[in-house]
Amino acid sequence: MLDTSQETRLTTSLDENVQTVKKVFKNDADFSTRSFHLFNNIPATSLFISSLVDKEKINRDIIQPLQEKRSSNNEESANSTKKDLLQSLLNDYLYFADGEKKQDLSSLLDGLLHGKTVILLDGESQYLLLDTLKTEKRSIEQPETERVVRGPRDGFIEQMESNISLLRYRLPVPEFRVEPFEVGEKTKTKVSVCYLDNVVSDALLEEVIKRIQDISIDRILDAGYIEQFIQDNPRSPFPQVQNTERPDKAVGNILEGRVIILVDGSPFALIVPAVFNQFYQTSEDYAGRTIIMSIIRVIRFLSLIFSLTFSSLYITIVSFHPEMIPAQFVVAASSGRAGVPFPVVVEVLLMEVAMEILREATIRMPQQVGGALSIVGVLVIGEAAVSAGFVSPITVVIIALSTIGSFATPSYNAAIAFRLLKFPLIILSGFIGLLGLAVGLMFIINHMISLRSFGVPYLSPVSPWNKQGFKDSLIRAPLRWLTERPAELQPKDKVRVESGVESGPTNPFKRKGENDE
Amino acid sequence: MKRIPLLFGILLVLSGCWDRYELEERANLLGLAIDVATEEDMEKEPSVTHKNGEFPDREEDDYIKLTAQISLPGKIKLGPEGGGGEGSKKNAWVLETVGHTIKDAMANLQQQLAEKLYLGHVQIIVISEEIAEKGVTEINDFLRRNPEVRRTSWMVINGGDAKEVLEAAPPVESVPSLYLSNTLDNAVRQGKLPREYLGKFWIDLADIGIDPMIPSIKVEDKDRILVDGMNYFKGDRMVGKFSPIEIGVYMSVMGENQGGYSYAVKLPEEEGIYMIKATERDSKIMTELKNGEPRASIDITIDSIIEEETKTENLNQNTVRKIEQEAEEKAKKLGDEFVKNLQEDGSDVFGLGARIRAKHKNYWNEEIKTNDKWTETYKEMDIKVTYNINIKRTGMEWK
Amino acid sequence: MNKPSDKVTNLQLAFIIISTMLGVSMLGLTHFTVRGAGNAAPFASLVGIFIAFIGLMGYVLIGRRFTKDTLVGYNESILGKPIGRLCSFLIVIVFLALTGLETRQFAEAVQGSILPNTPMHISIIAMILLFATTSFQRVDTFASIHFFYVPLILIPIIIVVAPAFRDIEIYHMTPILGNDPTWGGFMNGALAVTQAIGNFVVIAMVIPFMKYPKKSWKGAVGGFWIAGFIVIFMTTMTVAVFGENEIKKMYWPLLNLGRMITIPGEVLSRIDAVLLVSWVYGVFTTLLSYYFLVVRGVCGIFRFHHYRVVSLITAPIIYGIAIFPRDIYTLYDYIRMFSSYGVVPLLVYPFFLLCISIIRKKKGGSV
Repeated sequence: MLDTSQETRLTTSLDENVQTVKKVFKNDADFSTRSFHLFNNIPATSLFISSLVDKEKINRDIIQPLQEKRSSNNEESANSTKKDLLQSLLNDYLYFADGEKKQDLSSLLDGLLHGKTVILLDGESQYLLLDTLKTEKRSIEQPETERVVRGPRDGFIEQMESNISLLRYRLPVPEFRVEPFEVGEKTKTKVSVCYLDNVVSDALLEEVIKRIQDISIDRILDAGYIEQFIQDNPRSPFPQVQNTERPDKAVGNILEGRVIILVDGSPFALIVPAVFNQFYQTSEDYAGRTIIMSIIRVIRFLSLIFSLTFSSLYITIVSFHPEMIPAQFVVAASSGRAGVPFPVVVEVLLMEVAMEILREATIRMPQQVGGALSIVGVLVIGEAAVSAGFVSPITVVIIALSTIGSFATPSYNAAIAFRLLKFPLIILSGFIGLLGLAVGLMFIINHMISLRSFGVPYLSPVSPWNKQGFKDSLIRAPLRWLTERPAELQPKDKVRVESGVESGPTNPFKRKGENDE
Repeated sequence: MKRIPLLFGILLVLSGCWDRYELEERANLLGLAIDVATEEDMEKEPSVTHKNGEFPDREEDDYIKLTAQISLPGKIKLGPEGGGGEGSKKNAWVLETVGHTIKDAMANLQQQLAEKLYLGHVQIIVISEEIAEKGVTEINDFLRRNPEVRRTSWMVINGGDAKEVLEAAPPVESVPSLYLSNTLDNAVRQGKLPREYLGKFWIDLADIGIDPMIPSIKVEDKDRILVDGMNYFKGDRMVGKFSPIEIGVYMSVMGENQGGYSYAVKLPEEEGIYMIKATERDSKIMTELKNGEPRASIDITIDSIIEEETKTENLNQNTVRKIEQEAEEKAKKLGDEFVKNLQEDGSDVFGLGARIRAKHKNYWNEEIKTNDKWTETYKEMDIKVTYNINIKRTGMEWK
Repeated sequence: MNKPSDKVTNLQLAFIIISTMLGVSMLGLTHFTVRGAGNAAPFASLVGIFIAFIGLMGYVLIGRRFTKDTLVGYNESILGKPIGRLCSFLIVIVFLALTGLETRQFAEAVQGSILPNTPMHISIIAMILLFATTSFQRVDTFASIHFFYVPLILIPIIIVVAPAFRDIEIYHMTPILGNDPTWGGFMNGALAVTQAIGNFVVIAMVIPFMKYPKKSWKGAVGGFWIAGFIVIFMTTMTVAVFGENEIKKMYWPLLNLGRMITIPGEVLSRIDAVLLVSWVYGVFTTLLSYYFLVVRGVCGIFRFHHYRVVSLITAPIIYGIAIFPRDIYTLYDYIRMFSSYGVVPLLVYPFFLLCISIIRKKKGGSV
């Protein structure tokens, strides 16, 4: 039945038409029809899916005006426009921002499923589609995953319309484009590609659109699905697409020449292309003071490196190169290990796995239980394991440091990539020590260098080097120096502003005749 | 292609880890002592590197007694409750073996131990005077070849048995060797010892025209060591020793900083005795050829402070000048004597030969060439030492 | 592939040269220089670097003449197809052998210093895996890799070597021209340096992929002199600290320099391991360059574009070469042989090509 709906046209008989639609929906609980008489004389039926529509709106704005008995002159006018009754209904009686006149069955079904109300008239093979969609909406709240101390508190929600409005509100320029797409054979999810027309590189935009149109899947239930399809290297552990819940971050990225992909039903916007630098930056960095924020960025970066290498470095030093640590410490450390049955590498692996289990368990727990569990976990693993002679106390300290390091990274998906990559490093350095660690790191670095996100090298602006770009990478130069957009994105308009401040600060209390110097 | 990492992984897992030795699987040697072994000692020798009595080198009295100090893991507590208390003797294990060479003795030692001998933390290598007089090249070969040995550890000479040093048990530090090496390290920081650690010793040993020296120590009351001066060498053989105050002289000749030694000065016609301490040393060592003979003149400038004044109380600018003069005279006397002694023993610890070689290469290549020839020339050489002592301040007291 | 961003910049070319020149030989080079030139080693290094510099200019000049061709390309267009291909093939063979031998040298140094009991094959395989799995499809990725590693190589060297300043003895260095030098010995020392750093020949494969091949001399000269300065710096420091006699006794003087140093604060009581890690990076980038030349060279000769296939086929060959020498002495014999009969002639080679190309009036496409 559905297959033929493409060709099926409506007839002029109201009953037949209603029957056709009813056959499609069989006896779905939320499929409703209501018959009435248009202006008290023409039989009409409105069809809608009650779970998707705003019933009050139908009552107030559709049924009421249409059922009202019209005066004679109205009838005259109705007669005079007999040819196009539907159009006159739209023009004169229904106060709808978006109402359409259609005649094929497929768009009728489509409209119904998107929360529209269909008005069928007797003797008309055309019908009216009126938007009456009402979905359950969350209010706009502070994003859970990206909290800031200083900065706007609004975050994206599931409805794309609201998300676009959040972007438009921040970016009231005509060049801001929101291009709609539909992905997912069954879910027919709406996807929008947002960009600044006069900034974004055409080649990049073309590629993004091509990749989105390329997607062939039955469902898109979250932005993550789209991410999976459009990333360059699906085998890489590193995220090549950034996601954000923050409209301010999204707008910032649009202005740099990136493309934002919004997916209906997901509170996450995707940012492409994404380079490694972005994953330890937050939108707050731009609101704070340069020196402090630069130091904080360096700390975040170091903690990322820490979480990757600290435990394997520990193994390397303790099991292979104890000559590197001072003799006093070796003597003490070897006492700490007395009675521990496992080699350091096994000890570290055990503890790291325990930490990962603990982390995974606490994420899914209800908040009240989660807190209790993590206390238990820390107590049990830290204290009891040491006193039971299961691990040495120094190992516990090292593992704690390396775990905390990974939590200092703002971006969850980058942090988890690094945290899982440390396991191969641990194993490698457990086998061949320092050489293993060096070789393992080189595999990771080489991979990151060859990785590209939409053609942009993953490690830019560090390699390939770009001095302008470096001002906003590991450090964050004063905003007034950041006059250019990132060159690796090849924006049409390279220059953000000509100069950060036009004439610099002057002293308003300067006495006459006194020189500035 | 994708299977290569997998195969590599399997290879790793199957073959295991060859160089991984956990801390408790390593016998951390912290100190080594090398003595000459007697015939009696040698009777205990097991056949590890050779069959009994079949060591290729048949020279008599060429035996070595190796004493090693190993830290005992379980004994030393972590954290604040550890450390002092029962003294350090029980925290370390002192083992003794014999052998024909160092490696031979090491192999014998390893044969008795469960853990792998690990030289990465050797802090101090004590050799007895007897060994040092016989020459140290043989001992050093093993240490130089082994990648674990630190070039920053100390080699020292003990007057008596080297073994005694390792048996000394200081009550403060948990492991004796650590205390000993700290004593030496801090002596360097305080300007009481030149930085003549193992690496430097080897460099001086290899260089032409310079003779090495290493600190000399003495065990006091069986629980600490006294830095008892320096032993100087001629080639690889020890020929003599100078006292701690002469270390000060040596360091001032070399212009090595952190002045550390104090010196008592008494003005001739007055009562007072002043202790002056060198703070900054600077020296210029100049070599020249006169009539085909090498000569050296050493100009030393020492900045110093007065640390103590006893028996009198009349310090003023005038007396300070007098003290400077007196100190210069005394220092010159001390320095001349010191240099004369070294010349008599033919030990060129200042590297005058190396300097002449660097500066007057034609002279060196035509006349000297070898170390032996240089020693002869050195003995006859004219070395002039001049001192210039400046007293900069007198501490918190005006008078 | 031909977008401007995919092109190699001058800065990247400079870094490629630096990281190629600083490689396996870093640890042991001073030994060979001193063995030849005595305490004139720093000066001999300078002379050696100058000799290499002439070769560099040759490659830059010929790169200017043939802006669109790699070494393989202009070999063919200058010498004609059969001879040109033969020459390219010989060059590839030399570098193939050098890749294997230097991998082995790396493994020997690893075994001698940090992993005495681990089979050498492990480090050989690890290194071969590293450079064989790198993608050679894009020249700019290759350039980026070099670019990224240079700081990781240079910073540890400086950290390790700089504290050695207080152990310097001036009399180890003077007279600068050497004590009783022989002409032959001095040149031997100088040539040891030339052989060790002559591997920048790789840039002949990179220049055509540059943004402005005509201006390649800027990057090439800059990078060359930075690396040259570092070679001289390391040589000078090791000589100044150890003196010639001590260095003659050591296999890896720089490593021993690292073992002499304690850093303030005593966080790490020995930092030679740090030096070794940076050296591993240096080895990797150098071998990557060699391998790049081999793979790209083979593909150029046979007009083949599946670099991945070639690189996977070549890897076992390199492993075979690496395990071939019996012991460390024969290994050094082979290395000396290949670098003196392979690398040094390569420095004269571009001038030979230039002459012929002028005589035959051949000119590459100009941009």
